[in-house]
Amino acid sequence: MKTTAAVLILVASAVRASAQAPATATAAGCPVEPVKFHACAVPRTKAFNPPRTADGRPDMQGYWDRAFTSQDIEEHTAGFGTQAGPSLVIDTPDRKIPYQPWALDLKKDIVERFISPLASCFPPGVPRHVIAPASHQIIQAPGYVVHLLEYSHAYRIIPTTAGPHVAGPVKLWQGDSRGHWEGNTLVVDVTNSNGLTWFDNAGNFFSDALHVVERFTLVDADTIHYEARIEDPRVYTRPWTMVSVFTRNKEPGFELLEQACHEGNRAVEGGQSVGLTPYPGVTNIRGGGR
Amino acid sequence: MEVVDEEAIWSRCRHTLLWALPVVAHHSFSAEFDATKPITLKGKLTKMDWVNPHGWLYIDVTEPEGKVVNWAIEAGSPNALLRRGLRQTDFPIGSELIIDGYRSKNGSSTANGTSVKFADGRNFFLGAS
Repeated sequence: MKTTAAVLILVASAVRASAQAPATATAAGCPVEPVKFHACAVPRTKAFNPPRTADGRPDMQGYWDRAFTSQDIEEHTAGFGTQAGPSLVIDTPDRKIPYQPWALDLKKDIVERFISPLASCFPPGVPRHVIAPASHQIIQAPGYVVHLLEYSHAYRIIPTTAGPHVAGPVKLWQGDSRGHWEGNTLVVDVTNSNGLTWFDNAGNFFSDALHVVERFTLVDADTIHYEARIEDPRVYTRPWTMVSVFTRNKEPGFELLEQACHEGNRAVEGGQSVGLTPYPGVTNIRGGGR
Repeated sequence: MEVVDEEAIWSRCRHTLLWALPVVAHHSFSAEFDATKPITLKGKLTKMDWVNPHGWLYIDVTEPEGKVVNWAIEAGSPNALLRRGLRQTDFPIGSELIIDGYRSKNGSSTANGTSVKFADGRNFFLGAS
């Protein structure tokens, strides 16, 4: 049976747009497995002179694919609705999130109790924005980096002439991002999270005391090393770091499409039908209100 | 235009799709659907909702004793389906479809679709998660 190569291209591009990298994948000549990628890519970032924007900053503009999905940021085997994936945590002895004992207890059945925040079409929060579903686009302007996500039209506008964070009581789904450039690295300090989002669909969580310091660095023209240092003394025993990978989407004519997430969303009623409730954040779960 | 062998294409695609699953995980799959209850549904399409964040297919399935039950099957997002080569026009009412998926934990006639096969033999990953 014969058909045209166009079919293959169409199907292959669809796979590219959607896939999580297999464990054997590489980017910029480095294995994408997070610990290995970190060890391999960081030295390469120091040797790479990236293309520049008109104002002289490393040019990260374009469409990007995440190497890892946000099903579970800890190591997991393939299962129902999930494919196997490595832990994105690179600096704890067991590569697990260093939950305090009460938090580990909550984590054990959190997905059996609460609707995944993303299922409600809420913004993904940070750092999930970086590994969230669908395609990503980075746009730069003098003094700003804009990170668009097709999913639910979520976006981050990161000022790089960093002023102070917004006042402490202001709590935001995406948090308050303040960036600056350290050499060729975009460093983003994120506070003011409302604590109502998760890292992933496995229910890995934080509180509204979350503090994230992200580092975006081009390894080559088509690869970004992403690192997020996570601090939340209310939930974890120590700060920890996750690493992920962006690879450039070079599909001709690619563009972000409309994704009106609320249009026909039944995931909330689906969750409620099996006894799940909206995720109220750890402060409310532990008592004391927000 | 280059002509290639379709069998080779699908062989490669099947291999690729094995590691490509799942696709756009909008919600926790395992919380709502039962991994121990895979189901194959065959019937006529009564409605296709080409909506975000997941499309939905409705098919009338005739049970062994003759009763007709309308099933709702969750599919991928319209953008995911589009990029896989599917269009809303691929789903005319009355189409005969064979859909593989997993049943909802709530016991209703609802499933999370994993693949759809058309009467002409085309077979697509439904990518509901």
